[in-house]
Amino acid sequence: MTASDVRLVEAQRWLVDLFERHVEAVFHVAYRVTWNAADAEDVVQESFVRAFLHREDLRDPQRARSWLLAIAYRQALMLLRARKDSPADPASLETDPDRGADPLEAVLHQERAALVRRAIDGLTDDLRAAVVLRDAAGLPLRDVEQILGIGLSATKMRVARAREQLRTELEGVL
Amino acid sequence: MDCQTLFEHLTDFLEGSLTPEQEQLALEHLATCPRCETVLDQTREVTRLLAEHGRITLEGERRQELLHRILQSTR
Repeated sequence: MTASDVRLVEAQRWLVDLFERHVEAVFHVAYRVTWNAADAEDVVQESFVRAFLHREDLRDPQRARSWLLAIAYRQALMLLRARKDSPADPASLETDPDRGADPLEAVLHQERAALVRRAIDGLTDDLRAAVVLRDAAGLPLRDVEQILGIGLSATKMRVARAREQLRTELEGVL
Repeated sequence: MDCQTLFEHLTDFLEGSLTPEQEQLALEHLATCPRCETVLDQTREVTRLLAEHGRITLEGERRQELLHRILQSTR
């Protein structure tokens, strides 16, 4: 085995460890930006490959999670922008599989989900990113701030404005 | 605290990051202002709806397949 082979094996071990620790968080961010499981998986794959290729950029291992989530977020946005011309069919929205037991509840759940998604789609990219990362993905504001790279008070402002717009849009179902 | 000030502090209030004094003033205002109380309840409901309608898990099989694809791409 050459020195180059050894370096590749070590780098791949690092990648597997990174994947095991953070794949769920990356998938959550990807899914909650794209709202589509297949797209989210593509984003996950591309994000980890990019992380592998740019691993030298990660100087502080303590920041691996937010560094990786920032990559995933950018990848998800790029995919969304590439698909602007062919928006996803609302009927294809993924649903919580536990809701299938009661047909009426499942229909109501689907309708609410479609309304929520339309309201989110109506936000600007900046506001949508902030509120999706904070409220849909459930990330702490400090993580959202690091991913967006805009500072804490600007992050709070975007979250607040997005929530207010959604509150107005969704008033009928609140 | 008036309505405008409460509105400006709403995110910090929901995050639990106001100072104890600010939080007390916010609670006192909410106790006397039905409109702000409604705004607060509706904002909480918005955050709940966002969390609820984004729920999805990555199954073990899909997870392993993804890892396999990623490793293939890095060889």
